[in-house]
Amino acid sequence: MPESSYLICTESPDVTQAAAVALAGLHEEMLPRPFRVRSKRMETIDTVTLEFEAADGGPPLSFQPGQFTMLYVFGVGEVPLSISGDPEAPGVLAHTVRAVGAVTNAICALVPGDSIGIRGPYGTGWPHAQGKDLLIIAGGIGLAPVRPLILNALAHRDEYFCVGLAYGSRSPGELLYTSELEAWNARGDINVQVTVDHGNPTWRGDIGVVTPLVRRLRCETDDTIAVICGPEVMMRVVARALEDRGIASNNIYVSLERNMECGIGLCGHCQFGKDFVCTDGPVFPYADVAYRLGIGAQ
Amino acid sequence: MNLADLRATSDLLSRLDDSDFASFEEVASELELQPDERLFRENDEARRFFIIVKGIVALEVARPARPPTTVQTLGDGALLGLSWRLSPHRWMWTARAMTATRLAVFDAATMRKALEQDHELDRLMWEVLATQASERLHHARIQLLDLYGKS
Repeated sequence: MPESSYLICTESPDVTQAAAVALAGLHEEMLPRPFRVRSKRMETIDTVTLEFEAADGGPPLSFQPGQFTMLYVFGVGEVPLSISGDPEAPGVLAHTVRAVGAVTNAICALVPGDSIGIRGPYGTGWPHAQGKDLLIIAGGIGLAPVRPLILNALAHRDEYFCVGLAYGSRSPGELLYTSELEAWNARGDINVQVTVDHGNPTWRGDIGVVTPLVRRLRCETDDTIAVICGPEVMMRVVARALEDRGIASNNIYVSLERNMECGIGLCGHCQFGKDFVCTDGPVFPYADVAYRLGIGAQ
Repeated sequence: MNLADLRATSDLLSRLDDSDFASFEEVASELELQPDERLFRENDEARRFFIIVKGIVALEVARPARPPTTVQTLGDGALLGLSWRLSPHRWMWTARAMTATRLAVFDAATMRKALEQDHELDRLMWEVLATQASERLHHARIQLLDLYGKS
């Protein structure tokens, strides 16, 4: 018998009752709500954006940019996925999914009308940067978790100073949200810089890593918030470039990916040093995690 | 050529003192390229170097029976051309404008002669070139990791 269960059984009736209530709460948290696929859009050859709506008549799923949900494909399995939709339209829950395994392949195969179980939202969100400069650096599928932040910043653009986005992808065909990138760029109030690792004959943009683009993102204040989302190596390199620009590491935020299973800090699969990524993250100040990513001293 | 607007964004110009900056302005000329226009060709003699005022320039390598491959692009403020300072002064890549591009142009022979007479400026130039080379090597290594591929 696990130690925690033993303790619950031998404590006083009051404690036992409290534990039972807590367990009932956990049961609720672990229970997926039924959602239905409302629309599906192909982003790239292996990545789709799905919009879901609640199918149980319950309230819309409100979330903070940066949070994630657990998506359960019945009979296949469950995966954590960052929310990629507009936080001010919680009636529609959007996820951008890349087919990389059994569950994500099953999610990408869903069509409008199909059902899925969703629990959450879970985890920490991106920091509030109102009244400051906001720099967003994303790589690959990492643009999806920052899209809610971008949409929110653009919806309340006057609340920020400079807003900049640097986005790197593998190739032009693997860029996400291409029409939105063009629309954001056309606004003129957000500096959008895009690069790819490998171009093609029709590509007229930058080729190379995302780091040099960071220099092109202008800051107006000494109080800049930078958020980074992408492969861990990319985040480390970009964080270093931001620090070289004078942005303090506690104003740099990263979103980490670990093996999240329960989403509520119970199972321990996503333990990352002293933190559980599912509850203490996935968004962390870089200053708090740099040493655990192999940078700096503990 | 007036380089004042470039001074803040150029790794080279931002490090020059006022006197050296004025000398650079004196010898710089301006060049405009149309999209797809070639600036220099792999293996040709490196007679000039450039700072990109505005635009994107691709460094590409020729491949047999296939279109050239771009290995990297350089944008606003970037120093374009390292080979002019390194014997045998031959371009390692072909440079082609990807967009309408404006450049500040510096004559390599004139600059090498000036650097021979000013060791402090020469040391600074080597430092800038080494930093550029180091950064580009670092970026190339990161690209080799294929970070955005399926892991």
